[in-house]
Amino acid sequence: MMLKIENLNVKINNKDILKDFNLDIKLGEIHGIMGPNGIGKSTICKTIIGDPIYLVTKGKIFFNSKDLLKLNITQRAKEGIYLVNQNPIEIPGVTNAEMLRVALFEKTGEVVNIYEFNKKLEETCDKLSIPRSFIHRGINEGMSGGERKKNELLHLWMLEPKLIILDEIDSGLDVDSIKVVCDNLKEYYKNHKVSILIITHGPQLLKLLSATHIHILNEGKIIATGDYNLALKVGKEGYKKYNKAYLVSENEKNE
Amino acid sequence: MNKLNMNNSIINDENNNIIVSKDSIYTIMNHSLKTFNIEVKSNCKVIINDFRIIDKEDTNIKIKINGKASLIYNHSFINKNKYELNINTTYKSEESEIILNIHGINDKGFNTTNVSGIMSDKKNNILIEDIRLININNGSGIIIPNILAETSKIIANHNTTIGTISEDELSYLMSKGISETEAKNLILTGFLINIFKDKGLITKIKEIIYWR
Repeated sequence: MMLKIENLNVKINNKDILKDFNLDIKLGEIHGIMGPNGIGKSTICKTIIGDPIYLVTKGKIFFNSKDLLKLNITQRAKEGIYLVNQNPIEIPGVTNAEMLRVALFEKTGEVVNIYEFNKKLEETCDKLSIPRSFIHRGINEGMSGGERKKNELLHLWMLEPKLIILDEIDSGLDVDSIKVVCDNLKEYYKNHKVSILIITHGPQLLKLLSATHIHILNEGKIIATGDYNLALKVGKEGYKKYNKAYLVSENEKNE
Repeated sequence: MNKLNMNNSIINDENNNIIVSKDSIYTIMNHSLKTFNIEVKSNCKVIINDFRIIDKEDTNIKIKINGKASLIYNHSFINKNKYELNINTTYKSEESEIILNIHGINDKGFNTTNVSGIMSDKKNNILIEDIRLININNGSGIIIPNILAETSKIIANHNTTIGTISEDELSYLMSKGISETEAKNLILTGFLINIFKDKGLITKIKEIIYWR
């Protein structure tokens, strides 16, 4: 099991968000978590990555058998967990190249080969249809929402994570940009042995990324699990009209 | 006599007065000049890039600007002890522009930044003050922005912030696998160099910043 979350309870600002949340992701699987606004979907991402604002009061998270709750954000990232936020922030004055050089040095303990580093950066920019000038631009500085998502994928290709968490990356993206982003993610998926966790409102992204497992989040826990048909059903009928026939037991979820 | 080295040329007199009558870019690196008076003549565009690591110092800068001229003063500093920065701007005519970009890090030190923009009744002038301080290691600072305007036919803005290293920025960089210490170094360095466009200057600043 690559990622295993057991009976996780999470609080933010003294409010319970996740309650007995369980999730298992095996190597190579692509999971999607759907749910209405404000239900705690982003809390899952932030808790896995280790944002200290999110307080884990109960439960466990294992990543490749390591206890993630004992690791800080940096250590979790070094283990291979990578989060693409729905609104990546900008850090003026810190260029993509500079940040990536430091990150790779910290990960490998070796000074990067500048020629190979630059070559890979340029090739990835071309693949993502972003200008090569982004390499020496401040992180997400002055970039549109779509450019920021692509910029995050530029980082992803350089850092080569094992588990990719996508937090509503389709928000703020036009149709063409969503396709570029998804095609790029699929290419990364094919070339690397990874798993993907997708957080989203609707079925579009799940279809484009060929999600293998769909979960519905409600009241802090997964209340239903299925295949892509479940996402389609929610897309058609909404969350309120959700058919309880899809409700599954804890045992079924783990299958 | 104090000498101010600007782009490899010595441009000042005994009273540290600088009169600029053509488009110019000036660079000041770690200069301890305490008084600095600059007058920009009509139709000139001037950029001054000023970086300092300060132990104990007062800096007084007086800017006079004539009609249809512009001046951008970019100043970043690391204050390790005590730094009082006073900037006084005066508009002598109309249709001119002054932009002040000041980014300071108070590293244990205390800083007072007084910025005074005297726009009086001269019309169609622009004054933009953007002053940001980051306090680390119990450093602290005060920003006192003043704008005097006696006509509505001007644009005058000031943006001032005092804070510490952004938790969001820190978490973001750490989520890329960068340690907290290195992430802080990147953020602080980026904050200092972000107001400059001169790549040569940026490289020099990175070389002398002591935490790198």
